[in-house]
Amino acid sequence: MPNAIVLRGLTKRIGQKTIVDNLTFDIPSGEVFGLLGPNGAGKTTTIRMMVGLIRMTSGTVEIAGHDIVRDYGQAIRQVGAIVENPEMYKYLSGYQNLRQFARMTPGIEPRRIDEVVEFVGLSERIHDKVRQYSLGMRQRLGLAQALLHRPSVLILDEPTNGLDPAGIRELRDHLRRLAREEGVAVVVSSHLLSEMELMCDRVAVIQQGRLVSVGRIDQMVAAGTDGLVRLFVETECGQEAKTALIGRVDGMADLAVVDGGIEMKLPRDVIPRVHQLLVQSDIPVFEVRIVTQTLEDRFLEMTGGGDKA
Amino acid sequence: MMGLICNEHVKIYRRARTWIFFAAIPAIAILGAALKHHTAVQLHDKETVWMFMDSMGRAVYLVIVFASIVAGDIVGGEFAGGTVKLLLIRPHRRWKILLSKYLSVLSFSFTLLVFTVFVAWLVGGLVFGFSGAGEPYLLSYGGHAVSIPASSESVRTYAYLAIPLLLTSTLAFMISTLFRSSVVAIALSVFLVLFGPVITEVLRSYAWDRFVLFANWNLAPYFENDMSPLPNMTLSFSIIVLIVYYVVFLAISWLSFTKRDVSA
Repeated sequence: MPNAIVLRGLTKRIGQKTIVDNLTFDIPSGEVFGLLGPNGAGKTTTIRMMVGLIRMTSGTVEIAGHDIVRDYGQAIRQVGAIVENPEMYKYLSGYQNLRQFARMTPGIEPRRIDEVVEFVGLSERIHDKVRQYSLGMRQRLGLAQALLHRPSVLILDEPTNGLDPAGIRELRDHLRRLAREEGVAVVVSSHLLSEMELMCDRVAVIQQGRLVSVGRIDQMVAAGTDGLVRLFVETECGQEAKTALIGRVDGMADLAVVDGGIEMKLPRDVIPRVHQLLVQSDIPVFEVRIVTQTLEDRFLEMTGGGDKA
Repeated sequence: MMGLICNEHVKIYRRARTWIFFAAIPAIAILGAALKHHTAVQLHDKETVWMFMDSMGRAVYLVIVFASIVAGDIVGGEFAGGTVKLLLIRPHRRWKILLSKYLSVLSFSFTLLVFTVFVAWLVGGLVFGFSGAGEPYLLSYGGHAVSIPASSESVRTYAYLAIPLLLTSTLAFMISTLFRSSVVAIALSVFLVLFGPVITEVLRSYAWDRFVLFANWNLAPYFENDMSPLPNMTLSFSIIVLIVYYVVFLAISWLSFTKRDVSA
């Protein structure tokens, strides 16, 4: 799949402060990609630069091969987006709002408006004034507006804000379907890890404007950044176990006696060797297990935890 | 571009306040005609539709206030409501979006002005009769007394007021774009319209008083009684000053809208 979005060294500085610092990553077509980071990490600023609302200090954004600054018209034509909150004209009905956006892009027939309204499940209330909409309904209208011109790139800033659990699930299914069936590259931002895990193929973790890590969430969580797993051995003879293992296992690190046993970091494929050595040394072992971090632990570790407000 | 202008018109005319503006003008005309009729009967004066239209020229200040509200809100309101983001992420250059807004402001302002002239004529004619269009009206121009038809004088009254209308709308539009706030834009421009004459008076002691916008935008004295608003001013001087203000207002709007980051 070709890359729908290409970020190269994207940077935004305002005065002395660096809001977004040298972000580089690619998003292929047909992928649901997450921008994950605590509040204030620079997610929204990144999105604003991706859609040309603010100028980058340096770096480039390419959408479907078009530079967002030099070739704005061609690039933005490919993009449907909600930036921050789905704000609409409150004194117009949902339908009139969509007509506004339809008039701004050539080639949107009235049939298409009905189509997206049905897709986001707003048919019954579409002729009500937006003033009377709940936040969840405005999110749906925002999605409708973003899909109107059949974009190949969909950018949604905190799209689950205000949705109930059923709505979140529905949105997830919608986004997956758009990515799988229509090859749309979907970018969603969120500060909620659990949400991203269910929704995204890959995520970029951003902290204080910097890219901390990019990849699949399950892989990020299973292996630490060094590719080692943590192993816990439950035994009453911690000191003896340590002596039995030390220097005899390839790639092992951080071997230590802990409460109720020993712990170490090591490559997964040498775990049988640990068993073997412990048995040979007659150490009574109750349990050997890989210590998995919870998603939150891992996320906090990656983003430097304590910085979160 | 037509789509953009159409959108702006929808946004103006789908709001209740716009219809309040359009309802206020006939209401004032009817009230004014009733009072005029009452005094004319008591004093055995003859009031014509053209005299009535002249006095209704004051209602144009209301048009200016309404136009400032619309002009002040048209950009600022999009920033306040956050809708500017959805407006800008479309395949249109920012200057086109701004131009469509400005043209829509002008369209609204002058529609309301023409509507006011029409309503004044209609209400005045229904109350005082439609005759008297050719009656002479005396004014002093080029050192001579000149007589023009009363109807033509009525039209002139509104034509003079079109200049403050144009400049105030443009000023409100500029403030709206610059401060990205409809409240600031509306408050500031309405304040300037109401206190323009006072400001001119206060600044009279300064040498640069004749460069003040409000001292220049009433061109009537040049044509009607051979006078300039302040000493040392000529018609061409005033016109040049007005053009400079106008161009500066538009340039500031344009720069502010096309160059600045949008983080609303």
